[in-house]
Amino acid sequence: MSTDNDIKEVIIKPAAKTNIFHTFTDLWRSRHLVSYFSVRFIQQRYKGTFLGWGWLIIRPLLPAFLSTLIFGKMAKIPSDDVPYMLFFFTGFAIWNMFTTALVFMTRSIRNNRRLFTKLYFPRVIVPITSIAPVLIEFLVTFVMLFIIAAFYFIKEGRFYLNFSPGFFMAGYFVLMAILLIIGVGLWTAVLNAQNRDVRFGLPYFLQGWVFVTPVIYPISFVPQQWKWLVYLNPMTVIVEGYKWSILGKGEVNLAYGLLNVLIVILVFMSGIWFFQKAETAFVDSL
Amino acid sequence: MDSIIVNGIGKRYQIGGRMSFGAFNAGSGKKRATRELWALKNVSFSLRKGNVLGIIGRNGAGKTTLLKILARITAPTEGSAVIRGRVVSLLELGLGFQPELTARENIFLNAVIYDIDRNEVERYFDEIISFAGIEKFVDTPLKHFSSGMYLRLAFSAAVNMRPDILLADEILAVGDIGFQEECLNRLAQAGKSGVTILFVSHDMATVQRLCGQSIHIEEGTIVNSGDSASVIANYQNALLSPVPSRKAEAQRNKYGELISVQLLSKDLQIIGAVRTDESCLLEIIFEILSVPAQMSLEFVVTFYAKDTVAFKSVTDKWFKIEAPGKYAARVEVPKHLLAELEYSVKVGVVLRVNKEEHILVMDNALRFRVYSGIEELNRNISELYRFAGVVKPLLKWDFLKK
Repeated sequence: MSTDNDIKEVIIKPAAKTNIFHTFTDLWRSRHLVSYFSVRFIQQRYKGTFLGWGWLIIRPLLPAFLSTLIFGKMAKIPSDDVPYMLFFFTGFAIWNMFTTALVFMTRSIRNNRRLFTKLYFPRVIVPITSIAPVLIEFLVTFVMLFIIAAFYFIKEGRFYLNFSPGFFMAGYFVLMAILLIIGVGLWTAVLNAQNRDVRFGLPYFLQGWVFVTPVIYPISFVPQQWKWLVYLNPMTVIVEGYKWSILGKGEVNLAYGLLNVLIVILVFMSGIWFFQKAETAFVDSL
Repeated sequence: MDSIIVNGIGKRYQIGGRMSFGAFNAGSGKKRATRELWALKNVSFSLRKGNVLGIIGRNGAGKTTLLKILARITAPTEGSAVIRGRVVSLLELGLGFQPELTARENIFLNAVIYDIDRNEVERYFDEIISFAGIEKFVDTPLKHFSSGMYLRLAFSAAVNMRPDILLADEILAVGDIGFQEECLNRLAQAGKSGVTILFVSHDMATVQRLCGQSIHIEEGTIVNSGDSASVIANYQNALLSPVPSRKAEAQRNKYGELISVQLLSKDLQIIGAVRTDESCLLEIIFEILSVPAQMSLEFVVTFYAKDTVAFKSVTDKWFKIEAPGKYAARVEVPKHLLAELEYSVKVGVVLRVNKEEHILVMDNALRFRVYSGIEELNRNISELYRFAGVVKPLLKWDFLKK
């Protein structure tokens, strides 16, 4: 029991006006809960699989082999003078993190309904930490990049990874990707809690989205008059920028980069705003 | 000092309609063509530190909604409340427990959920274990626990977290009588040591014993409040049908008398509630006063839920009675038949004497609750599988290729 002088007083009111910064203070105060849920989601992902952590390596490799065969060898799509396998793997790693995390977030509220309806805690933690397993998977692909690069070094005597200061920009683009995921994911998670259409529609939407993102082709492949369209897609700068950091190839443009920061921050803030605004309504409807 | 002050709380739910963009409208105040329901309206009370308040009322009166608002699970639509101190809600025991993890690990996890420091939990750890009586199983995964041990641990882990305020909703209806007794004593002791308790229950005897004051909620508003004895008396008067004389007549005739009906667990303990994954027994105790000639008996039990007949069951044979005396008839209610509802049972005993039938009837002989089994608690239940109806039988499925 607390003593009288350190007693915590809480005032319960109708859903207050949204204040985006409350989300950040809540997250910080409940950081134990953040790590608890992250670990829990990671364990849930691999529990009951035979290959267990082996899936971490198989999952990104398979599409990389297939795409190298189809887009690289057969369709002969250019890859900025980097072996297509390495080129594709780099871009696909961050794109795959984006789509998988989005799917996880979208399902997170519905999958954890009992927690939402029986317990009080800063609920935004659940959708945000649901992407933890995806981040682990992404780290694995990052390590695998070095292995693939080592393979080409042995084979061709050339090391394709770019160890310039630009390499560290990779972290920046990953951060942008995470902010974008959280922004979009909070919308889809809340909408999915109320309406299952989102869950069915999302994969189709993502399948289309990949074609306007430079994953299977480099941005230099896009005709000049269409480039602005591709750059409206916030994932374009993120994927191209990540490849530029890692491989030292590709187009990175300061103006588009700044536009990208603006879009990402806006989407991120709007997600948090929407979640706060909708919280009471969707918890009651669960 | 007041530890809870509730000031004009109201809660509106919107029912029906597709909730597609309900989230948007809830904030902006736009009206949609959905039905509205005020689960609570203008509820105000305050409670001093260390007091134990009983909350009584029919199902659906708004008791749980009130607790959910005070536990901050849902926000009120209007009004406000002040809560002073650490709140631990016992709305559902064992929520957040992971069957794969050991008791020790789960206790620490539980503390994380209540946002309690690891060092602090370490100080309470022994107490939690010893109250739950699971000293030998501290490092056993919960999936190997019996349901009784599971509940003990869940209750103990919650109540020993040094709350300032405890919100308890019907939890004590679970488990055997012995455990209920221990829990009640523990709650009473917590109350004496300064913990403020809100206690929702349908069990009037317990409310009277534990709570100094009570409030009676009906259709979302407080209709009566004051000392528990008078609030309960008023509530029960309102509930009981005003025909006690006829009922007494039906319970007794010149051949026999229906004495009582009780619910037993499968190991024959008297219980107040049962879980869906456990079978239970109804025991009908009656006395045969005279056996003038050949006499045989038949029993009928009718289960009511949600104001309708859930099902009725009749014995498949006549039982012969040779001498007067006290008898008991037991009928097993199999597991995976009842749903998570409150049932009331009507019991009929048909006495056949010389081809004439004399019927003993007890209306509302027994009232009990059914709770989810542990497996169900830990399952993510999709919208499609949500329960509807008054029974929930587990059917046998076969899957074959044609």
